Amino acid sequence: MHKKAFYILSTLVVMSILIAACGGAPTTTAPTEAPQVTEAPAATQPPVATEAPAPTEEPETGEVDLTQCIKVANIEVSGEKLNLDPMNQPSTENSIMVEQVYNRLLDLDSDFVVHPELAVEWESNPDGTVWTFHLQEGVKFYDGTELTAKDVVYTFKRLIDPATGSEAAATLAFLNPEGITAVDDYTVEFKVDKPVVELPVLITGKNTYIVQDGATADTLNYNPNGTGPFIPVDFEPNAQPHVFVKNPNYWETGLPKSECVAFYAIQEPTTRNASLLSGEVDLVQLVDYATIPTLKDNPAVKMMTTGAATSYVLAMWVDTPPFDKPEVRQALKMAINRQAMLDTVLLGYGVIGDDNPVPPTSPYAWRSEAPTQDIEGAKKLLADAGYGPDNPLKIDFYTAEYIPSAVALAQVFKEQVAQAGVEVNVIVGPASEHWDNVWLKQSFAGSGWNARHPGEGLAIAYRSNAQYPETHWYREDYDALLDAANTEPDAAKRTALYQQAEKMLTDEGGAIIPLFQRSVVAMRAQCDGYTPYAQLYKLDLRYITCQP
Amino acid sequence: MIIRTILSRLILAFFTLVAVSILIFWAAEILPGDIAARVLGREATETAKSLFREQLNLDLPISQRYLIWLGGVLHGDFGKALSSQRQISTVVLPRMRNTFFLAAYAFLLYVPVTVILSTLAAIQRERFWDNSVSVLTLIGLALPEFVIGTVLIYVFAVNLHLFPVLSTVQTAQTFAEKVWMTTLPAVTLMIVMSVYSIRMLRDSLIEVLDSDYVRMAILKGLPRWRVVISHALPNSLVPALNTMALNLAYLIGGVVIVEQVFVYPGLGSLLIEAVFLRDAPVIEAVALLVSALYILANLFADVMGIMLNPRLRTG
Repeated sequence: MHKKAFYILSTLVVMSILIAACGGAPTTTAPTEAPQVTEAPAATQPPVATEAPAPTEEPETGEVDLTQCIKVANIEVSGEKLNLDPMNQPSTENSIMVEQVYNRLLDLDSDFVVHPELAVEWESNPDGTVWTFHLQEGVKFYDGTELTAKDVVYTFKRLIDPATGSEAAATLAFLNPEGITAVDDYTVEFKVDKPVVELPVLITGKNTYIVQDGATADTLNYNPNGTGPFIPVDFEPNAQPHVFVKNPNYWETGLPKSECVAFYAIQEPTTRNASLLSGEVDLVQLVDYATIPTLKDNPAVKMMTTGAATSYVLAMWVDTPPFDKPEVRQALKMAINRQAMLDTVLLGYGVIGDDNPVPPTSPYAWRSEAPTQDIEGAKKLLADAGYGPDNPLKIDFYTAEYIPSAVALAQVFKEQVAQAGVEVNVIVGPASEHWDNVWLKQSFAGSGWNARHPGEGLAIAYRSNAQYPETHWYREDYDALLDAANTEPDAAKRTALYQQAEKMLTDEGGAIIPLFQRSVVAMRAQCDGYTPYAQLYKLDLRYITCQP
Repeated sequence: MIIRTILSRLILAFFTLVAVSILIFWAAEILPGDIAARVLGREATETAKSLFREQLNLDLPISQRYLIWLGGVLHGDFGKALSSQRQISTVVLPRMRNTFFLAAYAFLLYVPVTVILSTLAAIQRERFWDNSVSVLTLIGLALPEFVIGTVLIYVFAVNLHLFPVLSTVQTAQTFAEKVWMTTLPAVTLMIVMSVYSIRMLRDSLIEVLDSDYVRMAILKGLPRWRVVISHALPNSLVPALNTMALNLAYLIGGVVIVEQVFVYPGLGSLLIEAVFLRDAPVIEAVALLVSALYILANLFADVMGIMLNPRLRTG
């Protein structure tokens, strides 16, 4: 009796769960259509503007002929976190899609020189505290409304509002909300408390794409109303491919040149190359270094390289033994053979670094050559620091494959400094843990940075009050140089100040920066009109065309 | 008898699932690394991170959060994905459909290939067919699945242009196109699964063919093919069924590598992405689903075993 009751009860429980599960499913399949308030502070804004009926017909996936699209393979799979809100872009995949949807005030080329985009002209007062931007007239959002100064004001206020949790808040910290004003429909003014001479560069980051006044994450995530060259089609985070069609009302006449673009996220390097060879994709945004030889001599493929892009950094804490001795830091920098590293780790696809965040190929670099290996010099410096054959320097280096070939670089580093008698113990951890639990927490750890303007690159990790003090480089004289550069209106003098700061890092700093990657891009030979950028987040598809 | 077995197995499965859910929840929660940092990226500000944690009740104790979650699951509500705030069903269902499609396709290829090749090998024992099958399966056993997949891509997609490299089935317009796009991953999975099963089934078939009742049937003058198909095969299938059930479970949750190679949008890659994002609700939902299917597949194998074996059927 007992047993029977148990069976019946349990069966009932199981059945009811199944029924509940079946009943629950249909009601939850269409949540994207229901407005969800996830961004409470922005709810005060009237949502009217974004709800306006769209004059251009909403394209649907079924209607897009994929064979007409430029198909792009990128490497990262962002999964569920992918969205089209410029405010937070946790991955490169995310950034390159955001770029198709919106425009920025200005554009930066691979050398970090500023060009006009939505702003046709801009000027500042002599000391760089008031900046005025004149907007292009006749720029239309997808829904037909015209872009005006108040959209720009809203965008920047939203980016610096702490309540929105924007990742750009730190880099734009020099702005204050009261200082951003619309002078008239086509003029925006930025008033800042202290002079910010690099303001045009600083407001041209991966987050500063202009959104419509009043737009919130609710619409921006998946149903954005942008001004960019392409319009997303039924955007969903987890879809493959992500399709964008040409914006028929795009303000740059004659652009974009292709009807549509489709993004495929392909993690496997061999699959990426195979899909290019079979013609299923037209452009591979990043070719894995190890697979370059399989494409290099193929006439069906065009290979392109960028300038110095992502850096490899071996970050030492300058306030922690043994790295607190300048001789030790210099000896490690002297003991490495950068050319050999470049040839083995990156197969030559890179630029040799000079232990400062500005690559020697940059117009802002303090010198254009990089040091060569000097084992005897390194040994002598180590002897000065108290190390020798019977008392070798032993250090632990923490790394992971957080960027491609980072572990290979560590192995080569270990072998090279061994020639100077230094024993390095390379500790390789999981890549997913590196930024959270290793970097900034170990006194000698691997790091790396995407290409940046020197004003930002010199400050972001090496200023005393830096957000990421990866070398514990707290030097007032260094900060003073950066401060002076930040208020120097004359470009040539400013570059000279950057160069002094760079030289300090090269000579005494805690970062060993032996290499910068060059990104390698592969395109089908029948395609034309694409130029890769050193900034990984930038993928300009306005000019590309392909023949079948 | 069968009904009672199924019922008791289902009830047992339910309690196993509850235990599994506790384990999954706990495992997903203790994953090292900060969810906020993972979702918002390396350059997120502290304010943004704490706002995120607050929104998602991440500051409540784990037991309390488990009960909230379990309550939702019992109502068919797995919650929302941390990273996108979309309903779990919206995230998981399309992937599940894709996984089922690929699994069904691979399984449909796998069963006949296994049965035919192993039968061929068993009746041709130590002769040409047997030896070729044996060598081929040994090669297949030695090759990891991504090598098989990559070789298939280079031969059939890049050189012969018969099939596409990318199995992005979301773009398929018709069922036939979907099948065409899924062929290479399905064949890869078929090879991976069948190499072991063929060897196993061949051995058990040989054992049965040597038994007295088969010799009896042959002496009675039954044609060779009837002896093999209606007398030997059903009996030798019983031990192979368990391998098949395990393979079915593998198809549902363990084909991540094949999915990666062919860019196939299935559950496995969703799970990996979710683990990388520390997206606990997605991890929990997928893991629970896969465990449920795993249990069901094994149950199915047991029931089939009983049906094929008359002794178990009456006992």
